[in-house]
Amino acid sequence: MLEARELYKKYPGGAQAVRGVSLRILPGETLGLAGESGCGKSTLGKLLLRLEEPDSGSLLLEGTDYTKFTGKKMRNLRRKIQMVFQDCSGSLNPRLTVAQSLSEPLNNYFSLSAGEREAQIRTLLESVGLQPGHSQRFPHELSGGQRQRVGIARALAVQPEWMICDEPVSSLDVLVQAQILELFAEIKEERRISLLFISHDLSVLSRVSSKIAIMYEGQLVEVLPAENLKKQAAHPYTQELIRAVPVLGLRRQSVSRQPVDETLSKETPNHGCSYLARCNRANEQCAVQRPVLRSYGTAQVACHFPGQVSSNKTKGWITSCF
Amino acid sequence: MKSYVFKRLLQLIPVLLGVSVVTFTLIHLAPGDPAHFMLQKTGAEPTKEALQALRHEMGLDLPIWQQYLRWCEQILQLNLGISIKSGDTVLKELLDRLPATLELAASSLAFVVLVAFPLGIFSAMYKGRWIDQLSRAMAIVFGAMPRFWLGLLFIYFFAVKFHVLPVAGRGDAVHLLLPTLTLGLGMSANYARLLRTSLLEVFSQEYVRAARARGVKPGQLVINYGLKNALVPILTAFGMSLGQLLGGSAIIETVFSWPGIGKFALESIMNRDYMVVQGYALLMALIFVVVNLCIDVACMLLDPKTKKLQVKQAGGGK
Amino acid sequence: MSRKLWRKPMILIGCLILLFYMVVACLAPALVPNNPDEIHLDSLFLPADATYPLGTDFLGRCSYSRLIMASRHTLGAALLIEGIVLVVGVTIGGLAGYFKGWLDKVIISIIDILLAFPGIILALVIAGMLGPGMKNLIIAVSAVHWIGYARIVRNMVISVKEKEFVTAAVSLGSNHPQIIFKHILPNILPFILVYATLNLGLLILNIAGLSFLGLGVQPPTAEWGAMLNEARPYFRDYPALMLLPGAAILVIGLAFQLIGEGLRDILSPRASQLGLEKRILAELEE
Repeated sequence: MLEARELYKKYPGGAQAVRGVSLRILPGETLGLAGESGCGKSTLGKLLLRLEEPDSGSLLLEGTDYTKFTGKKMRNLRRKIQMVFQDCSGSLNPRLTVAQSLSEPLNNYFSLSAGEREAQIRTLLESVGLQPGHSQRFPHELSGGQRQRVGIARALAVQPEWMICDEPVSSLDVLVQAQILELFAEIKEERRISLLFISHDLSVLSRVSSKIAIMYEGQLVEVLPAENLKKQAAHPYTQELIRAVPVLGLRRQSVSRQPVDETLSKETPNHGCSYLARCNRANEQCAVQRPVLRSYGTAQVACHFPGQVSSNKTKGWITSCF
Repeated sequence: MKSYVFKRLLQLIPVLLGVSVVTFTLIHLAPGDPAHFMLQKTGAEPTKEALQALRHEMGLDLPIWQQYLRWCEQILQLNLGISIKSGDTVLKELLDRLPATLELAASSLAFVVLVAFPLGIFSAMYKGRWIDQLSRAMAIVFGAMPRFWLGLLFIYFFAVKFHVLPVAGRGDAVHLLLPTLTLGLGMSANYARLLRTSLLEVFSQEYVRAARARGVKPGQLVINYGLKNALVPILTAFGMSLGQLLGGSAIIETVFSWPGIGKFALESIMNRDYMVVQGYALLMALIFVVVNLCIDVACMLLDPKTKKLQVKQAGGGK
Repeated sequence: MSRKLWRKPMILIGCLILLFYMVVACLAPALVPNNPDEIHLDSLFLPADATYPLGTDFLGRCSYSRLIMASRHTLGAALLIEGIVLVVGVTIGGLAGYFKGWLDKVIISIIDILLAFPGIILALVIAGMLGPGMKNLIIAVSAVHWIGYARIVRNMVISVKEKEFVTAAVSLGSNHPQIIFKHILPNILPFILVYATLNLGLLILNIAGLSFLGLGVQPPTAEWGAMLNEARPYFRDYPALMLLPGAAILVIGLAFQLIGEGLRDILSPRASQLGLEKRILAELEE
């Protein structure tokens, strides 16, 4: 089990990126992490691999706290957890060929002869659907989808048990997206890897995940099984996100007409619900008491008024308040 | 705005401290014992007692950090030391010559503005045409031209060969012409190119294309959109090249026998009049730093982006 | 990129000129007909003839031989300084940009302090204090020029280090030396080399300028700037003494300008990919 406890991360001069997130990824499971851009989901992914250092909180892998690991210990740990990056052209060194990029993790963790390494590279390329001929290409000679496949192959090179995928398909065309998602499903099946799949796109997440976590302003607001997403989402933000997903063939949806001011929420005070300013069911309690994750049916929700329908009696309170 | 200026002033403190350390260190770069050297200037080989007395008087027998503090104290009282050559205070000697240097710098700057703006604007408006090529060629040639050589060429052709302009020295406006040209030509070509680049960048923006599509005239585009946006990079570049203007003057003043501060500094170097050289470095750094501070503040006022940021930060502070 | 380079006529011409200068400097001792430093008081200011292809100067020395020999001293000093500032600047700037933190703060404040002095003046004053001479000139010019390298390398390292492939390398278990030498250095090296090439032109101008002021090589050694300085009292009557050394500096300066102008066009797309182009160009504008 990969576990994060009460993680906090603040960038110097910036907003609080991650505010007290606790989360667990069980073996064999795919946890989808959703949220709007800037909500801290990428930071959370990097914290799990200690590519960013948390300000406080702890990280555990199968019960071992690796928050303070350094040097060799951390290197060995990274063999178990790998990452697939969002920007597939930025995550490959433009001056290295595919083979050279793939050799890096192989050389770092295994002592292989040149022939063994070559064979490994060929197997890796094959397992992500690339030709052996691709190995001598430079990143700029590949398509976006092919680059992302190289990124995946590179992460697989050390045979990790956990993989953090940071928006791995968001920069790809829709058809390529589908292929890569298919590839992830295959890999998961074959290698028994547990995934944390980060995306801003709920429709992508619902295709790959077994569980979905929704993040808002650095906090988890809801965690629920993927199959229950549509009918059991209890947090108003989750509901809003679901309504915003465009569905083919549906002409008009009941999305809130109120313009969303994304700058507004950045200055939420430290007490009270962070979704307060955008919520239509908030009342006085929401302004003073921060909701924490609590069980609500099959889900965990951080809301004082979870549920499917918004209650009318609290509507309008927010406008009178400001 | 006020808080920005205040912040910049605060940032100046460590820089000025550092400048003082560097300037203080300069004199220790000189080979030999300054006291020994000063006594030698008066004539005979100094006696041991005289040397010791002078070393004590100059504080040279103190540990180095005490010497530094002593020196800082003197600087704060505007005491830059005495020029060995003339016996006058260094400050007076420098200030006497500063106007000549500033005169030259000002006229060069005026020349640069007069030439660079039309040249840059037309190069941008008629990109790729002869005027653009001309400004490009000017930038290339003057970028490669050693200024002291250009000065000598000017003297040779205008003064010696055709006798149309005075050879050197300071006097009426005619005397200013050649040194101004020498300093200003290269800089104006540079600024013309810089202005052209910034204008073209602005012209390629969507909102300017939209304005053009609406039928806004090219002249208005340049004035309303172009210059407004090009001013900040130009000002910043000017802050940088002020150093060229001040430093280049040492060479130009020597070539044209212009009685300015740069020529004086050079003479002092040759006379090993180190206090003057030290004072010169300090004064130039001060001018450079202060002018650049003013430019930063001006840029801040001109640039809507930074202005907005300031307002937002101030708002967030409440 | 290398194939594209030669298609630009400006770069080609610039490089040919440079090559010519380099060849002349290397072969100088074989090319000179007379001893460049030998004084002939009986043959001052001679016009060009068979013995003296470009005549003689105010001490009866062969102008042609001096002009040729000077290339060694000017170019030699420029290359030496270039080497020094390249090593110092890249190391310091690289460390600052890579490790950030207090080290970066210290280095940045030192740079800020040195930048408070106009560059030319700092070199002039340091050279002046140390006293005339080639060694001191090299120290003084190096003391000023490493700053540009350190700054630009620091900024480049920071912008490359932000790239996802560096984060990826960390996650793949690579250590600092691996990241520095495999990922960061190869990506900034072309730009450092471009900057170094263009900076060489500036260095030559600076060296000649300080020598012209009497702070560089000392007589009788021939150096273009120093030759101009020596010619000053006589150039009204014998302009050739002043024209030739100046033209020698101008032409090599032009070579660098042409190369720079050509590189500007080529570099743009690749450099802007890494967000470096503007920084390099801005640094060079100074």
